[in-house]
Amino acid sequence: MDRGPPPPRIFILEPASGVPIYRQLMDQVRRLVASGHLAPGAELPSVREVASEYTVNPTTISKAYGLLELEGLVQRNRGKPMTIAPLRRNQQALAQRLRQVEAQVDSLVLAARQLDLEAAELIALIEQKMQEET
Amino acid sequence: MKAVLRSALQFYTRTRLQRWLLAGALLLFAAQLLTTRPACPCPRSFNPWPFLLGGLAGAAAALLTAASAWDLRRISALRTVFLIPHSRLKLAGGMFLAQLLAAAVGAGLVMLLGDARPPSPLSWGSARGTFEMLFGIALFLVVLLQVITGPSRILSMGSLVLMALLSLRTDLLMKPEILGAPKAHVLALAGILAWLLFTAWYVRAWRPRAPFLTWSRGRASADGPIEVSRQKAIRAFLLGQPSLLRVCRQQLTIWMIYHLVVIAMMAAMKLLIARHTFPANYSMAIIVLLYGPIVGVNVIAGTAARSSRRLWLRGGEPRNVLYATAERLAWQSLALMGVPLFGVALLEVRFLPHAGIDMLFPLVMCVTLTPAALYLGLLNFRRRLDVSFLALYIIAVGALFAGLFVESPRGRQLLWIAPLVLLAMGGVLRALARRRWYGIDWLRFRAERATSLSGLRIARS
Amino acid sequence: MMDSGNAGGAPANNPSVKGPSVDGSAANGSPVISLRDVGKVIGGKTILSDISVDIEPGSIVGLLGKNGAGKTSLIDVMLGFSPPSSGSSRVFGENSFELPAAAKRRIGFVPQQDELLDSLTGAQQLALNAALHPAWDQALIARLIGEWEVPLDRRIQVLSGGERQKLATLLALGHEPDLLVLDEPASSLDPVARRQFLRELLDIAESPTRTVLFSTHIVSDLERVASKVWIIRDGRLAWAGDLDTLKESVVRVTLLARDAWPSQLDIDGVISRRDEGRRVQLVLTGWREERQREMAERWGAEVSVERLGLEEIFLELHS
Repeated sequence: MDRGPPPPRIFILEPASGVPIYRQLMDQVRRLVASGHLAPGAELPSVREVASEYTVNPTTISKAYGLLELEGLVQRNRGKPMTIAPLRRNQQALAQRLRQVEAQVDSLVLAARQLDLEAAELIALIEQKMQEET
Repeated sequence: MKAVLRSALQFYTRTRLQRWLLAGALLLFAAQLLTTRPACPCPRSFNPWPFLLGGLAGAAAALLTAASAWDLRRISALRTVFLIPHSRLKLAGGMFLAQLLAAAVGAGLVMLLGDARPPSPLSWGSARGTFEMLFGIALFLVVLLQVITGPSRILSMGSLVLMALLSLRTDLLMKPEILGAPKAHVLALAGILAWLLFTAWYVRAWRPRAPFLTWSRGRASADGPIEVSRQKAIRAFLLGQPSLLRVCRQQLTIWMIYHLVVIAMMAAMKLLIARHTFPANYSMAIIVLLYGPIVGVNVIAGTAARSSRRLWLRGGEPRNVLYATAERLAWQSLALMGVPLFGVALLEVRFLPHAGIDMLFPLVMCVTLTPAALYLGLLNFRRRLDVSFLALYIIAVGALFAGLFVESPRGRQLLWIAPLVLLAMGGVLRALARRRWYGIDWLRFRAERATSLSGLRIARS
Repeated sequence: MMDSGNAGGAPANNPSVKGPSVDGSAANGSPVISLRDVGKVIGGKTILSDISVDIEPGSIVGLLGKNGAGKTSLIDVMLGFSPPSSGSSRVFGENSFELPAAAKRRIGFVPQQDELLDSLTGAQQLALNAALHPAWDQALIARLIGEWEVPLDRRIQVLSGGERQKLATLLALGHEPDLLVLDEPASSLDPVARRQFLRELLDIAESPTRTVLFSTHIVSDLERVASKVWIIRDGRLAWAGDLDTLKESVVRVTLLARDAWPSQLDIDGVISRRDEGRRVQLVLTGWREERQREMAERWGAEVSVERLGLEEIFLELHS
């Protein structure tokens, strides 16, 4: 039991947002995996724990987990909590992967425009950040 | 100032019922005055008309005053009125002004329509005397009702006892002088004194409670599990009170109070029609006791009807079984109220003077009227105060006087068809009630809210 | 397992957002509540019209609507307090107006205006209710009395609005109903009490055989716990389907172009439109991801999409 389940508050769920709760959860799990906060094999809090912690409907949580399982990001273990699936090189086509961040790029570009930043300056910042991650 | 005037008018004219009562009282009073004039073509030996009309006028006026007194307390209990500055002063002023106006109108009518012989300045029939008497009595009655429904149980009981005692010695009020001073002055002063005492408390009290709130205090907390049977639960849900006995006891109390108040009103009417001396006559008071079970069962049946919604899901019964339960409950309440009230009435008929008026016929009429009243109540899903009770009242009082006007033996035989008609009416109403309950649509009869918005209009401005 | 939410169903210029009217997905059994073409007319006034919808067991349905839109009337018709003027309403397969006792025992109802008996204490009122239901879970009630701090020894007449509401809710929970219907259950509760109440609702709804329907105007509560939303507007259902689908389906789109926009835009499912010079803001239904690109290409404009919370959606539907 060297790795207990992470405390349920690793997510930030906003019921009042325009984004449905299940989608928020899915996005956050993906990001946590991508950033390494959730390594392969890490246990996810159970549907019940999350629902109770955030006072939200458990069906929406289990929908999120179910969809993540279909994507291959998490796996179900009989009688044990769900865990992050072993890492596989992301097999989606580049275009599909880029599409997933397109929305964020849109907001980034909008902010940059409002702040009068040049594309080159923005790209430099992005490259710097990408190097920091690794 | 405008608020005070507005309040004064509103106290007697707020609801449609009050307006009708006011119009009725004025008309009856005027009519009664006309029948006391020498020019009136009324029977010479015993003229029942002033008595009849005066009695009805007095009853209407009593109801009206009671309603306005109730209003005063109910409005002052509202939190929103509490917040309006000087609201209670305005309300009290309005009440005072209302009685002034009522007395002025009454005195005016007496001057216009009463006997033309100039009486002494302070007696009934003169401007000043009539005004003072009416004013004093009206104020006194208002304060009395406030005290009875009032803040302190002891005071309520005490005032009831006082009323009972007074009603026994109404002859005291018959003389032109009380305690050495002219009657008019004494009555007016007594009224004003009572009013001042009441207002002193009313304006300074922290927050007057709604009427009767302090009456039903009941037992304090119940420890441990409370065992209740299913039948008891159903009954409690239908009545809104834990037990049938309690509800009937409340009704009995109300009707005995009314009985005593009517006796007092009669005494007042007597001294106001002091010109005609007729023997002591308690028939109008007895008719109140006969009328009590009618309204009582109507009210209880109505409560059961309006509360039946609570049992739709909880009780589990279908609508026809709910109907049967409510009907049974209403009959039980009729027995519990009818036996004491009709019993006391019978005793009073036997032992109290009622000037040769036949009370047997009214008794039978009232008894046969109770089924109709019961089923009218069961039909009453909408209002808390069903105007049908007025119709019932008219029938009850009418029965009293039918005996007076029908002289011929043949006529009297025909009269006795009336009770049968009433029983038949009861049967028809029963069929109607059953049909209504079997298809009751509670969405149409949503419960009304208790707060009164007009209370705000009175006190503001 | 992706929802078959009917995302693109709204015809043009129809300001209602049509979701799936009959839930075709989870068919654990027959629907708990089933309404077909229900209409209600009182005194010439049409209160409800053409309501056709089902509730499957295990769902939490939130009923949202303006005051006077017909929420309480709908509940009244559903539970058999009132017969529908047209159409049929069935609960547990039985006709609502003639519910048998067995069906009624599986229903718990908290009305908007509580039907508590003022002259009794809380304990006495609970005892009365317990006497009418053969299956009364005293342990559950005792626990909730403690957690929610419901006063039992004072007369109901002197309790505050929130305390009365808590007591009324307790009364409906004691017999562990399979269908729990609540009309504005939390309107008088403080945030702590509301959160406790929602937790209890979620607890109840965990069991797949128990269903909850509650009407409220506190949108945030709905967003937390409801899986399905019904939006009722002027007596009709403007939406009856998944909450998630609703949020994905209704978006606010801002189009920014070089020139002013024509007054007639041929776009499907526009609910509202606001013009500011070269910028036009539309609220649309039936949204799909591809539409963003389609619109950008069609008009050569910048298209930014904003997702709306339930309160915003509700406001837009009523603007």
